[in-house]
Amino acid sequence: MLAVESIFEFSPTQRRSVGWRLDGGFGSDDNLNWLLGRDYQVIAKGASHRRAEKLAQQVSRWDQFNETAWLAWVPTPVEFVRPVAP
Amino acid sequence: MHHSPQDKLEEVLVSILAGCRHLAEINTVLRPDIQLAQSWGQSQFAEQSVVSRSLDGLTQMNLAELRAATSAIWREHSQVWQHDWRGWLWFDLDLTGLLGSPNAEGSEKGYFSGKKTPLAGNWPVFQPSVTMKPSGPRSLRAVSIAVRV
Repeated sequence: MLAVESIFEFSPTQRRSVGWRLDGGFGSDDNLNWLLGRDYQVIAKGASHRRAEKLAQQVSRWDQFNETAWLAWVPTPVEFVRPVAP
Repeated sequence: MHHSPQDKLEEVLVSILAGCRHLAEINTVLRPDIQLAQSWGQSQFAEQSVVSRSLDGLTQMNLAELRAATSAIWREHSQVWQHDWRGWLWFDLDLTGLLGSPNAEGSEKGYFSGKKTPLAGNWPVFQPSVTMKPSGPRSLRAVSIAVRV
């Protein structure tokens, strides 16, 4: 992320139109807060398996995404530096 | 057989494209593939220990040069410079797979590099389906790219 920033040198206005889709362990709270704090848009899967398991236990309705994955709405579990949608 | 530092850096790149997770896999994945080596201008790829020693020998200055070269390539060739800022610019960060065309070899609906693990059996998700999402990410294994090189 730092490399991308240093290469492209986005202006503050441009950063608001830049989105990051994160997976594979990039979705730590620190990473998300860094991006949100710089006004980027973020779609991410949280990196904490324990948090995911705890949230899954609160779900009342699951929708199937494909043969192996199911989706559900859950409340935003942590406070980030900027308001986010669950 | 002599391999220049550039040869060995290219070999590291090819190992990544071929899906190697560790340099040690060079010996079993890349070394036997003479045709692949020849397509990169080498008679045979270097043995993994030789590559490892070269990487160990990189100085801070070498690393800075490598970063500078990578940045220069991005600056020169990235499509970001032509981006129309009336729309979104998206970056994908995912070490588990590469996005590919729907028509790419090995690409299939919902497939993502074989890294996704199914939900544990004790999750309360095995209930009747309510809605079905019609689309999903498409991808192919990096090794498929390497085969096509």
